[in-house]
Amino acid sequence: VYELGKRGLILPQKLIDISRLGLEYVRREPNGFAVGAMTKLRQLLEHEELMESIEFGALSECVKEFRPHQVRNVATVGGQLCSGYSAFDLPPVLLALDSKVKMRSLEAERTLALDKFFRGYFETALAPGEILTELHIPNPPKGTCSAFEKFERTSVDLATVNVAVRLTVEKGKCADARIWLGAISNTPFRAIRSEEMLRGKRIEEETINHASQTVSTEAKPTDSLTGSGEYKRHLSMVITKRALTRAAGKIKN
Amino acid sequence: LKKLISLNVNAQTYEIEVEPWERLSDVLRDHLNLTGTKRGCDYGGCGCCTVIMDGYAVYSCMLPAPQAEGKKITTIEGLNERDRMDPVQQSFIEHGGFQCGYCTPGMIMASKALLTRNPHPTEEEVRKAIASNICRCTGYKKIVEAILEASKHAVAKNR
Repeated sequence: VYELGKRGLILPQKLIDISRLGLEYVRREPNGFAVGAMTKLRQLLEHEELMESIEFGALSECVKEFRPHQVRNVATVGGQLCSGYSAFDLPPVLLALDSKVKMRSLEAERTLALDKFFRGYFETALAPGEILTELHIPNPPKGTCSAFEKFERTSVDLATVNVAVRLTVEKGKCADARIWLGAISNTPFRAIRSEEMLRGKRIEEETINHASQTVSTEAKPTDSLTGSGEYKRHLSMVITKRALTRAAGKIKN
Repeated sequence: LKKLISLNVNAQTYEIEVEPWERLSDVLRDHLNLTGTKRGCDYGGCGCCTVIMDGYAVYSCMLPAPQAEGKKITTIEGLNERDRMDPVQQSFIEHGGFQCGYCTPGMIMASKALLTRNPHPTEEEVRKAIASNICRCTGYKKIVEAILEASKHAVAKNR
């Protein structure tokens, strides 16, 4: 807020501290995890099941490698979502895990699938008077694993491009897949055609190559300070391939 | 729109009036005169302003001061006990872990936070912990050596 205000992008009229509303928690529920919106990224590290199981691999890889540590120690799960900034790391990860968000105003509470939450450049589905209170990460189906990859200019930079993938395998074949990329355009990007190419197939090197190449044709990255659209298009293929390969490797082991 | 807040900095309590959006770095330097904490980039990119809050390294330039209420803040000024320097500070001196010194308070606070939680870090862990602390004079070799050496002293001390 301070930074956006200083640059004249927004003019805050009121500043409300929501850090003492008791929204810092990670709760195991029968159908998944409930994470309070003010939970710090660092606090996710303390949750063994989220950090060690291959189903949530994308999340643990993202949080474990998150730098700067000084930011991980204060940045919140809700902040990564509500800013509506597409180069952040958590949105693609949580999208690939089919997460939902709970929002609340004085009058009502509603739940929304996270893929309906991101609307545009710094724009989300939050209405005036509404705050995000809770994130819900469902239990992935059996045979699921996920991975996260990020390409950045320096080890502490925002992503040039990032990607989170999830594979669900049944009887040796891919039953379901998610591929979500960040920093491509104004909102996180879902590579639907590439997912389609994986479904029903054995996850082998050739399938992965096809799917990653498809990502680079369906994603239409915009030019930005971190790189040209063309450059990011190439990167999106490279990192998707890395992420899919790692996720597939986890299933085999 | 000033707000009265109470901050615990280096084991001392301060009651101060701040604007709600004033950042901890500005409050430390301009209200409490603790100028060891540096302003570098001023928006979370360089690490100069790193302080320790409840045991974890944070950028004080990105933290609204009212959010530090009820937390334990340690700045570079709070490291030495009486006139004895902290082993990390001593090690930076012995290994020449700085040239101009501007990044040093942030470097030391980031490494102190690491060593408190992980007394025997690997070189990679050290490098990751100071990944977001930028030194523009020279390289990071002597800084990393200083931190690793300090971790050995901590072992010797514990024995």
